[in-house]
Amino acid sequence: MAAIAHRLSLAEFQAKYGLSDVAYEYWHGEAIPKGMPSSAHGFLQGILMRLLEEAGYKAGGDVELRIEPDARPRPDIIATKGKAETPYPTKAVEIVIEILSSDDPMFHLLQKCGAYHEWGFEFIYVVDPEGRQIYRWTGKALETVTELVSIPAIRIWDALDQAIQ
Amino acid sequence: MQQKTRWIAICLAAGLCAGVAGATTIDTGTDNASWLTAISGTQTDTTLPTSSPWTTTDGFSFTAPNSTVRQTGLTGSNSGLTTNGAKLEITMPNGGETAILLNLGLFAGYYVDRSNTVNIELSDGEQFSSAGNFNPIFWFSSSGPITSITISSDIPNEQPFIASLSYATSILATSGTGGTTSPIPEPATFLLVAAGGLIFLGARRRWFRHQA
Repeated sequence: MAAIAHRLSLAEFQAKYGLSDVAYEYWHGEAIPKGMPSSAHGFLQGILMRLLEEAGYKAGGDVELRIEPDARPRPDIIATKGKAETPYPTKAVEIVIEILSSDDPMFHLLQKCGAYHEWGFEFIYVVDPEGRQIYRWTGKALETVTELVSIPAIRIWDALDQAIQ
Repeated sequence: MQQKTRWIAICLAAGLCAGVAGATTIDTGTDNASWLTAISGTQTDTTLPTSSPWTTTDGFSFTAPNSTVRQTGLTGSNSGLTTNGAKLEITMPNGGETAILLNLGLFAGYYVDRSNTVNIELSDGEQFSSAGNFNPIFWFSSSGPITSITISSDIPNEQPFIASLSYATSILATSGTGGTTSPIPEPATFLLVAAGGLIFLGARRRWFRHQA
């Protein structure tokens, strides 16, 4: 992710990367590749969505956020107890979750956490399936936590273990 | 009376030696729960500067011994330094800090790519490496003040950055406010305490024999 000479417009980004096999996110003039999801990543996404629904949330995966014209991130999960906005969310909901892939560029990930906070997401989580850690963005930094909203971390990792056995 | 005075002198000498032998003790960790047990009082989150001079209002300064700083924190799209492979040095205010919590990483590095090694060197010469298990959180808690931290990577085309910096008083600190004595004595301390104890017992035995 070196500094780029030419800043992409959103139209240029969509023409160049819109139908790519590799997922990209538009981020302030740059095309940032999304990590390639591993098995653990894919199963964890399903598990978290199911557990969030059990906790009373409506959860969606890989939804493009259109909150700011210059950034179009696609977090792994968003969840709300309110009405889901269609066709794309234009304002923050309660929960946003990024599940780490082995090739997630960390600087970009932390920048997205900062943006989610500015946009008004209440609970911003980064979940590491390899390190079995859940981080919550506090507004300035990531901190390790032992539950995701009200879901204990142990319940999440047990479900993941069962899924990938 | 003279014998009693001698006991006290021996005990004081043993205790003094044990205290002098206590070199800097450092605990480190990569999660917030253990950080909270390593500090006394509450942490302060510093606000990272967004332009030169690269100094926070509470006195932390950021330099790059083999490069130039152009960013701290997560503002902008560039990393903190202008040169690949460069080192980022953080200098502490007030003669040093005893407990620091960092969110850090490598600009183009990946979270769980085991090859992305971040190296951390403290001013007392202690070195830590994330080799094989990178985590965005790193903290240290020290019995003595640390005056600087240098962050680097083995990967030549990488640049370290920090996303946040918090500080507090270490629970290990032997000086300053709110500090306590280190709960983890060093081997040398154990030896000196044991030697002091033996001297004490020997002197006591002699005194009893003398009384009889």
